[in-house]
Amino acid sequence: MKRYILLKKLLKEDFPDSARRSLLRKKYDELCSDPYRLLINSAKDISTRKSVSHDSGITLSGTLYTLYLFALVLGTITAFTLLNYNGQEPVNAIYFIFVSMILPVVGTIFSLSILTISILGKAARHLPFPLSIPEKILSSHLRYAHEMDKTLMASFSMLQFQILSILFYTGVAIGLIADISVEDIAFVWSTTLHIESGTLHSILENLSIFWRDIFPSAVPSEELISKSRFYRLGGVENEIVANREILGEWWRFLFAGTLFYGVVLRLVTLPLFVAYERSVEKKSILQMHEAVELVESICRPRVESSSKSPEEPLIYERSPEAGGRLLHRYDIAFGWYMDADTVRSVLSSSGTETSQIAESGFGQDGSDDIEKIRRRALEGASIVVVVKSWEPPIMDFFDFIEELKEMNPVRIDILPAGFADESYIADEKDLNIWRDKTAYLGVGKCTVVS
Amino acid sequence: MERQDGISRSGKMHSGIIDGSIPSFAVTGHPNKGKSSIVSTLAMDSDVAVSDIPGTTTRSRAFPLVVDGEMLYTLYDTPGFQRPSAVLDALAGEEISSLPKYLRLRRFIEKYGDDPKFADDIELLTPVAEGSAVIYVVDGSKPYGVEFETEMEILSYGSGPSLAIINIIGDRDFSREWRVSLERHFSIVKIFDPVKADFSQIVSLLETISMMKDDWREPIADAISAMGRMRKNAISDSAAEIASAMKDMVTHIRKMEIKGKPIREYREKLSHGFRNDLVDMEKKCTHRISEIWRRRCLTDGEKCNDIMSGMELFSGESLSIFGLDRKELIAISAGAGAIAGSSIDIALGGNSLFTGTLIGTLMGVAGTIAGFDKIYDMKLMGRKVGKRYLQAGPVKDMGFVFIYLHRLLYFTVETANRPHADREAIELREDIVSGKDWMSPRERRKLHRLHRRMRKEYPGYGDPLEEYAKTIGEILEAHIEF
Repeated sequence: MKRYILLKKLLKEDFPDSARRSLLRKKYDELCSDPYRLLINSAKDISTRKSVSHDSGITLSGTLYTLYLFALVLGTITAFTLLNYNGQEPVNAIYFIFVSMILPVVGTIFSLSILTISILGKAARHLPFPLSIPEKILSSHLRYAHEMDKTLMASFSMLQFQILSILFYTGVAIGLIADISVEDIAFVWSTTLHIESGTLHSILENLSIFWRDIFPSAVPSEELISKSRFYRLGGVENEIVANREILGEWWRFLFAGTLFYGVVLRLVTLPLFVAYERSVEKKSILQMHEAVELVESICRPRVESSSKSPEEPLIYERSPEAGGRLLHRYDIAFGWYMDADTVRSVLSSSGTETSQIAESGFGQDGSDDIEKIRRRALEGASIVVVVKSWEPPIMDFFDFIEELKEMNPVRIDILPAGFADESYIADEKDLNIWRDKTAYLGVGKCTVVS
Repeated sequence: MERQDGISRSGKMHSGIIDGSIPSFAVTGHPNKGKSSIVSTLAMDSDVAVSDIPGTTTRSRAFPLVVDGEMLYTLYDTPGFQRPSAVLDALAGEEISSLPKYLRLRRFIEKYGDDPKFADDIELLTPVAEGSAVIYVVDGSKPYGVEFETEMEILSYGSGPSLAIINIIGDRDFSREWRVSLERHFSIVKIFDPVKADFSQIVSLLETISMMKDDWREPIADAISAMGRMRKNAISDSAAEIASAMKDMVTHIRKMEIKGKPIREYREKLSHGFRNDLVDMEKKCTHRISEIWRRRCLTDGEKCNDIMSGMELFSGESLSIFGLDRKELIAISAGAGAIAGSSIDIALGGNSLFTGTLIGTLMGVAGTIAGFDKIYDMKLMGRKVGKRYLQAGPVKDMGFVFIYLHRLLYFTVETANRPHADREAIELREDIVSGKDWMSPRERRKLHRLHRRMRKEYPGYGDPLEEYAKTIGEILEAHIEF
């Protein structure tokens, strides 16, 4: 609950700015799979660094400690009241047994039932009296009580009720010891019901089942029970007075019973309430709007990867030309980044002849190619340039074609050749790429052939 | 004039973008080798134009990866080389040959920045000249050619580190011969298919890239971590969308008032409307999931109409009186009877021990049950008080509910696992969708129970949506890498 309040306060008033959140993100990256731990650690971290005033937490602690002290004192006073004995009329042990043993058992069963219903069914938002007492007291003292998760308040109240009960019965036990230490008390038992001493003995023996083997003296004997039966009619009888030395023996049983049923039994069940309160607290923290925001800001990276500049793709018009047919004979064949042997094989597989074959493109310096071209008499010649069909045409190639055109050949055909194992037949898609680019650039006198 | 991504028209890049501390990578290469696909996959951006037509990219575009306002790295998608021979010729020019290589490249860009002849090459080389790492992309399904040596030689003029990626686009594999050549120019050579790469392969490539420079390890590690968390968040968001769509689907009801015409006609019209509703729900959900995964919607347009053909849709006819159905009218009659009876109890001063209230309630209930059909036919001021409806839904066939769920799961998993360069539509064919082992029998039973809880057929506490989304999230996590 304190964690919840601290986190609530931090998130509402001291929420870290984006730069801090970014720092937190770096620090708590590994905790993102456990948002609860992440939040708790973040809260601790921020509160340490900012030395946050825990005024709500202090109010809560102060209220709780006051309640604890009150329960302890109330328990002691209750014991004194129950043991009120002025030497005239003995103390009826049945009252004490009822308050310090029967009532705690009923209270524990009742609390466990509410807890079970809360765990199995819908979590309780409002508790029945008396479990709701701490809730009412705390609600009037806490700063954010009106904004708090009602289920958390209910579970916290249930837990606090258990602690208050423990302290109350601790007070009862202290009161009992204190009282019997400073004055003699004559315990008797008195009832209108027709209960025999033997019956009561067996009931009390059963009640003492948890300690009778360890502390046999804390179990009232049949003789004690028989000798301490008291009837009010006729006042204190001589027999009771005669047995006054043993009547005080009851305190051992009453003390053990208070300790076991009032304190130990609740201590045993307390972890269940603690665990439930923790689970509700965890759920409440994780559902807190501000907490969800913080977890998201730490664990959800805002990732942007888009370009701010617009795309300007180049869209070709599909060339309407179907492409030309390869001639049976050319005056000269060039291989663009293709050796002479490959050019020869390509042309041979297409049934085309040529008198000259030249390699082009290999020189890093384009002037090499131009020089080769100039050395040949190309005016009026028919030229075929064999290219790798799979490599898309680039401007280096068209620069070369322009150089060829300057030599005034009669025609220039571009032959995209496929792979050798496919008889150099080019893929239709590749052929279209060559045709489209050639058409797009408006390279005159030049035809892509197949 | 300066462009939005910091590259000026003259090719000069904004000095603040690349100062060496933030990793930046220029994805370069010959046209049509998948450079844009690699950028799209690494930048997780479906808006990068990817085409099999060479020269689609004409301008360098920066794709900065910004996490929480902090730039972790920048990718540059560049046009392909167009005049590598001419560029190398200029770079090797005598007047600047005494300068270091990277200065010669800068001088080249300054000199030819406005020359349209070198427009594409300048766009490509600007980020390289400014110190970006070079990622040189080749197609490993096409044979190595000596012409690529020119490009590799030009890229060696850059001052940043370099890496080569062999992208195998087609069926053939020439990666071995490529590797031999590439290893002479690049310290790291990696095979990567941007269209088929799963998340771990993307992470592996980024890790390789981070090794190019020591300073880059941390930002790239941060980027990988952010990507992983982003995917995990996208899984939980998708699960919530699916849960919401499934609730809409299993609870959907469509009603139509019957007036005169043959009931068959109403059935057909209602059935058509109901199916369209489900199709729209699926479409809306897939659209949202695409947005979550930062993609364009990838459905193939095939609707779920075909799988609904054999589905039992109709819950039958229903009547209403004053707009109230049988149950609502019974509840109101019981309340009215109780009030009338209790007034008798009050008149008798409580001596009747609430007998009047009890009898009034029972009479109200019995009267409505027995007379509902008769009241339906009654006329008030010349108009019938009752209306007759034909109702379709909610879907009773749980088998169909699971088929519907499988479609959404399949769509999500495919959307998440496909790299952003993959623009193929997702086929939601029944045989593919149901062929996968989506969930364990225990998960199936749980979802079945939650479907019933959504329709309030099964007792349970709280809204089942949260639990449903959690279960779907677990199923998705088993099928999606993050």
